[in-house]
Amino acid sequence: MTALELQDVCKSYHNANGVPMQAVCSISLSIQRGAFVIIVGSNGSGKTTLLNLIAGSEQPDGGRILLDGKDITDLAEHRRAADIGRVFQDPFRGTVAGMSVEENLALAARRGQRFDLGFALDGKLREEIHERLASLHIGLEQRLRQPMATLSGGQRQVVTMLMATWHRPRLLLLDEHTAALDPQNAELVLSLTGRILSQGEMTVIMVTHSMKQAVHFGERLLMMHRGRITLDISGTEKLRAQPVELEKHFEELRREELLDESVAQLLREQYI
Amino acid sequence: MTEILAQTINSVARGLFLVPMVLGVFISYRILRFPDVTVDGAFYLGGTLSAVMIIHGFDPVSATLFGMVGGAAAGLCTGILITRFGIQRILAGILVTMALYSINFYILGQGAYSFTLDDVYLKTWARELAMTLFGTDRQVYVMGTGLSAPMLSMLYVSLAVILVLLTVLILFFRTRFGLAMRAGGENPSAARTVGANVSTLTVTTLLLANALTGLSGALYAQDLGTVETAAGLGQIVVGLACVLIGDAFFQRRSFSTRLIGAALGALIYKVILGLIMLLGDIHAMTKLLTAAFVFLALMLPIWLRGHGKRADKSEVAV
Repeated sequence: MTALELQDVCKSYHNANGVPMQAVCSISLSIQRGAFVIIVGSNGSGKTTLLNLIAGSEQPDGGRILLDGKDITDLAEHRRAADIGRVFQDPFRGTVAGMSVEENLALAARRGQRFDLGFALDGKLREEIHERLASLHIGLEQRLRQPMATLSGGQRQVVTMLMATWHRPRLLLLDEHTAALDPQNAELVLSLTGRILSQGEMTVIMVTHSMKQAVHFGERLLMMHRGRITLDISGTEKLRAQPVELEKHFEELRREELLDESVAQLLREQYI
Repeated sequence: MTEILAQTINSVARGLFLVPMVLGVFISYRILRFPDVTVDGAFYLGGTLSAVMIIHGFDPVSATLFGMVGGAAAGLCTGILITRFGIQRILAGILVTMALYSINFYILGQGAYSFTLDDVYLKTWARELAMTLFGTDRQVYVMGTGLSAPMLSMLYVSLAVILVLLTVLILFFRTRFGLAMRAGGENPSAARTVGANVSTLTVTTLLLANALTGLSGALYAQDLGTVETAAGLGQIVVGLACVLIGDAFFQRRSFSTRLIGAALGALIYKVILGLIMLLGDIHAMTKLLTAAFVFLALMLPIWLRGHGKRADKSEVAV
């Protein structure tokens, strides 16, 4: 059963000189329900753009995006939010700093429903928030009424993670969600990720910089380079993959790029 | 001494009329994080609409509510210009305010710059109220200070109205919609990921803020008994001054507390201005003083924190 399907999706930007740059080049991709897919790639390879297109914060120039067979290409980001949870790299982006921890979670508990004039927090919801936070054993349940801004980056990312998965979404997008954290906090968020994912079927796409994470997590691995998918491995091949091999593959792509650059430089010197 | 007390009480009574507008400015400035110039237009639109209603024989309450609706419409226009047409937020407010200037001339009729209410308006009401409360519509003595009885009875009424208004607003911002509104302004990206329609929320925030401003404009015009087309000029700056005064006391508190702080800020502003007035009639100077105050209030925290280090300019806006 296919959860997410991309059909020939393209997206280009104009760089500072007005030259169009292909951020995502005709990507076609099919992801099975319940799959855990890892995407790696260098800076500017189009990973984040791809997630933005799936989440709806950017519109593709061409192609279709289907979620559980339904075409969501023209659906606004907030309309897709009922089915798609997302955690950003920037811990400040997923939560509202001026609102308290419980107020942030109360909003997430309303995902996919109308924001009406009922009180956001009642006894029942407060109890559930307390319970879910307490189960993480990092003391966040003591800080329900404190503004988000008083929490550390790691703690904020934990809350964002909880918000994104409060009602288990059809699709969870993790966009380098541990990259901005110190090792200890990254470990904390990562173990929480593992715990939440182990609780049941959820289709997950996780973008990461870390080859170690890429090898340890997920059952399918995609490598992106210059807006294209250059490697797509799963099953035993994915299981056997070693960080060293991935690094090597990565290095090859990078060297090719250097070659491109140096050739361009050579041509420039010769002809211009 | 009695003069100071009398002036202070008088200022508080006047200041209460300003509170709805200051709450409106607080809402747009603190949630959407930009000074919404529509406030200037919504303020005098509220005034002219209520005045015209009264002249056509409506009672002050419906006239005031109508002024509020006018303000809301102004906010709606600005909101649509911003979200639907992508116009810069401050420019959108300026456009609406400028358009309202002509509309006000039209509403007042014959291109009048001002006119005087001489029929039933808030003051007449206050006089009747004073007769029931104090049995006189002249002077009552509080702590040896002679105070105008209509003014004092109006103060009681408006105090009650403001308390109700504050309570309603505090409760509103605890609802799911109110929370989403705050989230949509402060962090649109987070709001969208939980499924909130940020455009709708932005429009509603501006609508609410300017409805409150229209209410103030209507009350102000009826209290004064005259309407001037220029009455709203610089009201956004006055509102900001009051919001900043409130924040000086309640900066790191909850949203509800800061809402109350903004209301208190309006009263403190009026009292300070009233006391300065005692030194001499410097009515023409108030706008200069207010503008200078807002500049200082914005810069002082940065200067104090900065200590020679170049301050982050982007913080000045919020």
